[in-house]
Amino acid sequence: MSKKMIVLKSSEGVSFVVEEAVARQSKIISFLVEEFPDRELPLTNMTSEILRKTIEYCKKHVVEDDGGGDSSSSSSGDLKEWDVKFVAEIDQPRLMDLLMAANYLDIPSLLDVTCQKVADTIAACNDEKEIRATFNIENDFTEEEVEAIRMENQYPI
Amino acid sequence: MQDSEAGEIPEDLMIEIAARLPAKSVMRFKCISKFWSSLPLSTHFCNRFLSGGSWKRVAKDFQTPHHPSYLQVTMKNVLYYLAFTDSSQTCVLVSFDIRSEELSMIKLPPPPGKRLALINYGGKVAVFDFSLLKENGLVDLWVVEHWRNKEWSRKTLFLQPCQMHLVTHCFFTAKGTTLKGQVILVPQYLIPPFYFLCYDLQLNHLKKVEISGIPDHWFTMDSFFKSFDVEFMDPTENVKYLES
Repeated sequence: MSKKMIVLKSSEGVSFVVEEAVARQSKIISFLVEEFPDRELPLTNMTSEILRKTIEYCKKHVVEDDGGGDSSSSSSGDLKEWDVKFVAEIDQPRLMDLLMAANYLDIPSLLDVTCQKVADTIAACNDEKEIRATFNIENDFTEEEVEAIRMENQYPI
Repeated sequence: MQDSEAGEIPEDLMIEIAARLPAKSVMRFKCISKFWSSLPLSTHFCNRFLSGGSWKRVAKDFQTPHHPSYLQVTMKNVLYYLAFTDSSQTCVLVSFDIRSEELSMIKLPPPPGKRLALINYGGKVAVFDFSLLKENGLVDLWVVEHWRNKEWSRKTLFLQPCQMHLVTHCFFTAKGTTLKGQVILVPQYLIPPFYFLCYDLQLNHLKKVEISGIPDHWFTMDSFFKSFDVEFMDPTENVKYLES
């Protein structure tokens, strides 16, 4: 039996042919496939690079139903390990893009692993300056305000 | 996706990320920016936080297993919430110090009413019981006077008779407090005239705030299809921004 394929198109106009079961891990795509069958789905705010990464993740996580009930393509322990490696290999800006893609496409498990990775990165930073630099967050405090917060929290500087 | 090196992370995603941080890091990183500094005050964040790692780890080791309810308030880096214990289904008030990750629990003295809210009552945490507001025009305020000694004080407020008509036409739910400590009461049903109430507990006075401009057909709609909610911006966050 041949598997149903769907076409996803990145912001650069590159088409990706994906098994429907793989793409359906995104709740948004699942909905779109039902509403617009046999149509190419344009994902205008996702670059090819991020879309490729997202598909790679979905392929790994697809639950194959081969008649013998649900069986994941990998055991859950292996999958966890694979996830950790998957996010570890991505640089910071791409990771943020992937996180936003997971949010946009509504893929809860991918959102979870990307958010966790970002949280771990933040927790590993030495101080707020390092966090701001890593995530490009603007410091909108005055010196006095920072001082006031430090006093309030009684943290050693 | 847009280039995030130049762009910023949307706030709802920031909350998702922050909820996965160890509690100590959240408080430590209050210095990052005004948004981060406002995090522990936001209800949405607290909800996420209670379902996240830090609290779960501490709660697991705590001697009394319990299920938090949605009733919560944050004051001075301490998150307070009402919960039910596993064993006896007793209603308890729990405090979770976000900095020290210390959990503490006291029993609720009143039999838990059907309509409760947790509020900041002049810097003290208090249970606002308005179960009898509609029928009897009274509310009970249970204030924690001393946490360690488990000291509560009780104040019963009776509505002024001339204000009774404001609460008799439907049930209300509590939606937090205003900056001045007034409890916001929102009708449970969408019926005209539509207004919410600000209950000033010091003056024992209700202020009526009418919301105009709601289309008529919303009121006449079959209640089966009708679902509505009234949301208020978190005033504590706004004030942080305004003062700066």
